[in-house]
Parts: sequence; C-alpha cells; structure tokens
Amino acid sequence: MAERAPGRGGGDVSTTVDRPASVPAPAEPSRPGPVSWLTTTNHKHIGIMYCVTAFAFFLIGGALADLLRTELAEPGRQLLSNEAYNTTFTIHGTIMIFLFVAPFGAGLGNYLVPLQIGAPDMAFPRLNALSYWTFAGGGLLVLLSGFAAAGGGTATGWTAYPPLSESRLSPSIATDLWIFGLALVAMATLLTGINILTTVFLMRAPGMTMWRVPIFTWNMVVTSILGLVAFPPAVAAFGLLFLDRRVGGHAFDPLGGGDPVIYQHLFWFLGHPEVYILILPFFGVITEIIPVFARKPLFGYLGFVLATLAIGALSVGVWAHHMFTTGVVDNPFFSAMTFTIAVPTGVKFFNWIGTMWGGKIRLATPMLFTIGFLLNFLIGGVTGVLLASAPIDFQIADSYFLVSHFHYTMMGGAVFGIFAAIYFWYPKITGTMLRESLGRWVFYLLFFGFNLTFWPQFVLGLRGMPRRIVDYSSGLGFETPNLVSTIGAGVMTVAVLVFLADLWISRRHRIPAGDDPWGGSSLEWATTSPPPEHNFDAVPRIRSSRPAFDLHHPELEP
Amino acid sequence: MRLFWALAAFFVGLGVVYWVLTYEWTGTVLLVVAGLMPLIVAGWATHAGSTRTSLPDDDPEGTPADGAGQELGEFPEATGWPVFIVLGIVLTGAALVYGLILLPAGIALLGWSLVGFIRESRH
Amino acid sequence: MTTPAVRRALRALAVVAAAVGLAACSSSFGMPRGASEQGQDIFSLWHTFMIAGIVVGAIVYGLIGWSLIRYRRRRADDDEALGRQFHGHVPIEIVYTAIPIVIVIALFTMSLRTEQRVADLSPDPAVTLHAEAFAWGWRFTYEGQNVTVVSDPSGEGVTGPEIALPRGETVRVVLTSDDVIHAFWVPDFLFKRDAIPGHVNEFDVTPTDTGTYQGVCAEFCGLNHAYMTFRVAVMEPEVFERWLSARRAEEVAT
Repeated sequence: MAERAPGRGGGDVSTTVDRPASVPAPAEPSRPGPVSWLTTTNHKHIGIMYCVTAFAFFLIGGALADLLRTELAEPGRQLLSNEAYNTTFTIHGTIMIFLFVAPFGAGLGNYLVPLQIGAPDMAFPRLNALSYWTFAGGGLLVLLSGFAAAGGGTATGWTAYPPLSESRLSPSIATDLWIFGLALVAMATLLTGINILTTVFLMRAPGMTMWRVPIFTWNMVVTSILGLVAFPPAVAAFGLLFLDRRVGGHAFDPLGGGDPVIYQHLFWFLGHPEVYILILPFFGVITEIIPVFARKPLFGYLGFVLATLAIGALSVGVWAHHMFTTGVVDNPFFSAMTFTIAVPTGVKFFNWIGTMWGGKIRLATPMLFTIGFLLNFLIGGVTGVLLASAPIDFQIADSYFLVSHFHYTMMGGAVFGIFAAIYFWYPKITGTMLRESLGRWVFYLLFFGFNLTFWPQFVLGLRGMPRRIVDYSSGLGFETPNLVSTIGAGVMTVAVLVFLADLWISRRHRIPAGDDPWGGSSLEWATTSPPPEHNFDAVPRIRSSRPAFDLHHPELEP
Repeated sequence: MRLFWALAAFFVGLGVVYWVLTYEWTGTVLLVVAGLMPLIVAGWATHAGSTRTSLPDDDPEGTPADGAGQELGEFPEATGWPVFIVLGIVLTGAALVYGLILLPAGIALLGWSLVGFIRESRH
Repeated sequence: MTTPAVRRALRALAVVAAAVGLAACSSSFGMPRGASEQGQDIFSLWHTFMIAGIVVGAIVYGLIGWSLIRYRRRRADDDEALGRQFHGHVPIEIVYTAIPIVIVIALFTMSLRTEQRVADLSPDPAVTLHAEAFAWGWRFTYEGQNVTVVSDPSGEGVTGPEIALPRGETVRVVLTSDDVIHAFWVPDFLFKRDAIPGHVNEFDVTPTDTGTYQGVCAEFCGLNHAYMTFRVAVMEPEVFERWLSARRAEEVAT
C-alpha cells in the first residue's frame, strides 16, 4: 500500500511509492498554495508551470510581432528606430522558438508522459523542478537582454551570426546576457530530455510495451533524443562567441585566423533539429486527437513510429540547407538529405488521413485546430520542399518567402497544435471544460487571421522583399501585401484575446468535465480529472495502444 | 537498447559519407560526435541489461498485479533548492550587466543552494 | 455511388481542373521569369516544382476535405457511434511511401542539374565585376576598366548606386565583404550569394533582357541593412561601353 508523508511541502522529504494492485477509493487531489508552486516536484504541477510560463512568453512575443507588423504596414518609418526594430525581431524570434514553443512542448510532455505510460511521476522529480526553474531563469535573462543596459538591447537576429554578433559591432552587454540566458535554457532542455527518456524506458506500467506506448509519448522520446544530440554544439557555438566577444578569442574572426562559417555549422547543427524538436510534440498531439474524434483506432501505428524515428535521425543531417547561399558547403548533399525528410512527413500525413477515413468525425474545438494544423502545415511542408532545392533557394532564401514558410510550419503547425492540446487536455488538467462556442471563435479567427497574415508574405518574398528590414521603398509592389499582412496580425490578436476570455470565463463558471469527456484512448483518460497525486489509484489492464478505450469498450478488446 | 545502437551507427555512417563527399571538417566532427553520444547510452544499457531480468512493463501479458508492490523509488514531496539555485545563477548573470558588485552575492547563493540540493538527495 | 448527378459533377470538376491546369502551365506563380540565362533556368525549375506542389497539395487537401464531408458524424448517429475499426493497410502504406520517394528523387535530380548549370563558371567572362559589401553600402569595381561605383552613406530615402551590365554577355561577379556577412541579391536574376569576410565568392550572370533591376542586401548586417540597396541596369553592349567611358571620364575629372 502507498504511504503518504504527513503534511505538504516540508515534513518528510520523500515518499516511497508502490504500485497499487487493487482499487481503493479515489483520493482528493490537493490544491497547491502559492509556496507549493515554488517547491513542487510533482510532474503535473511542473508541466502546468512550463505551459503557463511559455504561454506568457507567447503573449510577449506576439506583442512584439504586432509592433513589427505595425511598422511594416506602410513604407517609411513610423514607429520604431532602426535599433529598436532590430532588437524587436531578435527578441521576437528568440522568445517564440526557445521560450514558447519548445517549453510548451516540454510542459505537455512533462504532464502527459508519466500519465500515458502509467507511471506515478517522472524518474527524477527534483531534477525536473530544477529544469523548470533553470528555464524560467534563463528566459528572464533573455527577456532582459532585449532592453538591458546602456548599450541597447541585443540586435543580432535570433541566429546571432558573427561577425555582426562580435563585440565590435554588437558591443552591448545585452548580447552576452542573451547568450547566457540561452545556455541556461539549453541546460534545462537537456535535463528534461534525460528525465523523459529514463521515465519512458524504465517506468512503464505492466503490459505497456514500447509498441503500445501512445504516439505522443513516442514523439517526446524522439524529441528528447534530438535535444540531447543537437543542443551541445549550439552551446559550443555560443561559448565560442562569448570567448570571441569578451576574452580575446578569434574563432569566428577572419582577421584572427577564424571563420564565421564555422559558427553557422555549429548553430544550424542545433538549429535544424530544433525545429523538429518544436514540431514533433505537436505531431504527437494531433496523432492523439484524430483517433478520438474520428472514433477509430490510429491508422498505421508502426508507420508513425518509424516515420518519427526517420524524421528525427534525418533532421540531424540537413543543417546546411540554411547555408546554401554561402557558397562554401556541399549543396547537393544537404539538398538530397532535405528532400528525403519529405518522405516520412508525407507518410504521417497519409496516416492521419487514413485515421479520419471511415470514421464518425466530430468537429469539436480540438479537432478544428487539428484540421487547421493539417491544412497549414501542408503549405509549410510543400514550401519546404521548394526550399530544399538549392537553386530555387538562391532566390527565396532570406526573403519573406522563407519567413512565411517557417511561420506556416511553426505557427500554422505548432501553435495550432498548442491550441488543440489546450482544448483537448484542459478538462483533464483542471477537471473543468473550456467553452466550445468561444473555442470555435478562437479557431476561425486564428485560422483566418493567420492565413491573412502569412499568405501575402509568400508574395512579398517572390517580389523581392528581403527579411529583417525595418523599411522598404515604395513602388516595388510591397505596399499592399504588407498592409494585408498587418491586418491579419490584428485578427490574430483578437483571436488570442478571445481565447484569454474563454480561459477567464471557464475558470469563473466551471462546467465539470469528468474522467473522460472526449472518449479518449490513452491511459490519462482512465484516471480522474485532475489525476490524484501519484496519478493512478489503480492502473487498468493494458493490452493495446488504447487502454482507456478498451476499458470502455470491452466488447472490442483485442 | 537497439535504438541507440542504430542511432550511433546512423550518425557515424552519415559522418563518413559526409567526409567522403565534402572533406569538410566542422560537419564531419559534428556528425561523428553526434554518433558517439548514443553510443554511450547504448553501451551502458547493454552492460546494465546483461544482469537485469525483464520488467513487467515489457511483458505484453503483464497485469497490474504483476507490478504490485514493485518499489518505484523515492518521490520527494517538495524541495526549495531549485529556486535558490536559479536565483543564484540569475544574480550572477545580472552582475554582468548591473555591476560586478553583485557577483559575490550571486556566487555565494549559487554555491549554498547547490550544496543544499545535493545534500537533500542524500537523505 | 455514381449516380447521374455525381457523374455530372465529376465532369464539371474535370473541366474546371483542365482550365485551371492550362492556366497554371503558363503562370509564373509570382516569381520573376528571370532577366538572365541562369535566372530563366531557375525559373523553369521553380515552375516544375510548383506544379508538382500544387498537384500534391490538391490531392492531400482533397482527401482531407472528402474525409470531413463523407465521414462526418451525422445528427442521426448516436453519441457512442464508432468508426470502422481498422488499424492499417500495409499495401497502401507501402504505396504512399514509395511514390513520394520516386517524386523526391526526380525533383532532386532536376534540381541538381540546374544548380550545376547555374553555378558553372565560364572560362572567359566578358566583364569581371568586383562587388565589395560593407556596412552599409557597396563598392563595385570593373576590373581592368578603371571604373568604380560606390554607395553614398545609406539611409532612409537614399537610392543606392547603379551599375551597368552588358546584355547577352557573361559577367563574372567577385563578391567579398569588408566587415560582416552581407548578401548580394537581384530578385530579377533569381539569384543571391552571401558576401562573407574571409571568403571570396564568384558567380556568373548572363543578362538577357535590358532594363533596370533592383538589388538588395539579403543578409542582416546591422543598423542600416534595409537601406543597402543598389540598381542593376542591363544595356546593349555598345551602350554599356559608352557607359563605361562616361564613368571613366567622370573619375578623371574628379
């Protein structure tokens, strides 16, 4: 039988937990007070903290984007100085990638992985807490680097290429703060990755073989491996950059025998897998959602696993497709590798369609966002194939075409996945429902606003508008698409406000959710909402990859 | 863990192909080292796995009763050290910007909280 | 399934698809058609890729749309109604793994051939132009001609320098940077190349159409990155020679 230590926070340091064999009465979930949030090691609380913090960064990054779009709505300079604009897009990019999408994925993984495999917590709970706080501290430093000190905010672009990011042209201490903050975020990612891998490999419930683990958890496994492999070179790049800047190094300084291209190799060795780290958790999210709302099993489980592994492994070999225009890398090698990644991604798309095929599809809000994901990500993916061709890349790289491509995958994909995840798992996490009516508004506004913002940016790129420019000349055909794009950004802002309203209303007027409001397949739906402290008072029998579904449909049991 | 052996082989193999095609140092080193890292895990897992019996997790016919009483380990209730560790790190970083006078405070806080964190795990 | 109404709808759809297809064949999909040989080469690759992308996109969107229409839960279904419980279909999965592999190999091969032609350096270019990028402008020097064109200090509203190129002849551009990484981009040539300090990048341009084309810096280089523009005027070779002489005379006079 499980033993509980007396009191919460303080008292005994640890609890020894045994797996329960029978079904005791469900325990009252504890409501943490403010100090408990600072000291908790419970994966569910840490997961929530990650997601909430990440979402707060999203709001900041989004506000910065609105500033950028407002400046670009018309030619000529209206709002921002050159320096301010350059800092704004630097921090916007850094926040969205490192402080929003990635940590949100980590938070979801933190919350869901132990539940989905039937474990009571992560393998290393205190390390988990350390990961979160390291991320929060690093994020704070990065935010400060946007407006710290007399030297001005860091304005190197999120890619921070030397020689621009060297101390001569970026003298402000802000860039060093940025480097330090990101190094902390990188450390947090590595620690979480170790935690997730250990948990999945060693703490599954009986009968939960690796081939029955939900695809979301598989995706978190591959994400974690990618993080472990890819982050160290970037930290090395940042470390060398710091040495160049402050300690008299010349790693990237041609006058001192160095080469700025080396930085690009090191940076993109992380940079490319990073975008897969960003998207894979959300591939997992929609792979969980579609079967539930189509009321069918997943189509091609093995295909999903193999495709995810292939995407992960291949993504490590494509990094220099970001360097096609440098003239100093082997373009055909990277072009070929990049084309190859299109294949497993395509397989996933067809498997998702196969999951919908023959179903009884209910278009509840999570499913709406999932469809949005599919429609948007396809455009992102196809334009990615265009970019994989080096000669085509000679025209569209570093233009607004590229900006639109990555926003279609990252925002049209990952962010839609984030909203899908929120609407899907909010009932499990809080025990209450979000409003379907408002959720639909959020979806339609966001989908319309998103496409209105970014479709014109393809046009801009093709017409010759480069990226990262504060201003553009009139008479080149850039005015109308920019204006339309800015209007779209406004619509997206409204969508986010409606979402915040939904959150607010749902917390004030609660509708109870029950254990399983959607008819879910994976284990988290077989426990209470919210789950008890150690997740399961009784783990059900596991005979397939959809244990909760089997529990409610014993007549179909394999 | 066959996955990690496979990953190590894939990355090292890719690194070899890359070298042959390009003779480019940075990329080759990156790929080969990326391959060495899963090797560490694969090697350890193979060594550890040789002495261990199989887990009920991996038994497709496993039932909750099989896992009953299996001690999953220590699950700490709560710990305040991570917050202080990070405050120490942030203070040290802020010292870079707002004045080195903060540096001793940052390092002291960091040191004290790291020690506390480690000692807590020895309970 | 194929009632007369459905057959009529499919016929109409086929007509629409054919019309769209014909329009697509001649569309540039927003890309400049290329004012140079290399650019036109890249344009036709782009065109092929776009057709492939649109076809794939149409198929996938069509399948998604069809699923949403055909397999939508109807009001008549009870709340607990389940879809058809199948887990996979290995032959289909193999097919839709194999076909993309074939497509991707074809696209890569075409892309490789185009790149080899575009990156090819002629043994005997008619003109060699040294382009030095600096923060925040350009210094263009015509080798052996004693002609240099330099940017004025850049800023809002300042138009950049204008260089001339002869139509129909091969120009070698030798690209370097004085300080940070910049990039030389002329969208109408469908080509950009980075200017990296410590590296010398060379490429050939063979302009085919006279006209004046915009050039920009395409790698973020700091404060006035947005204002590092220039213009490329392509003119008949005789006109180009006169342009060079005029510039030479100007330089002697100053």
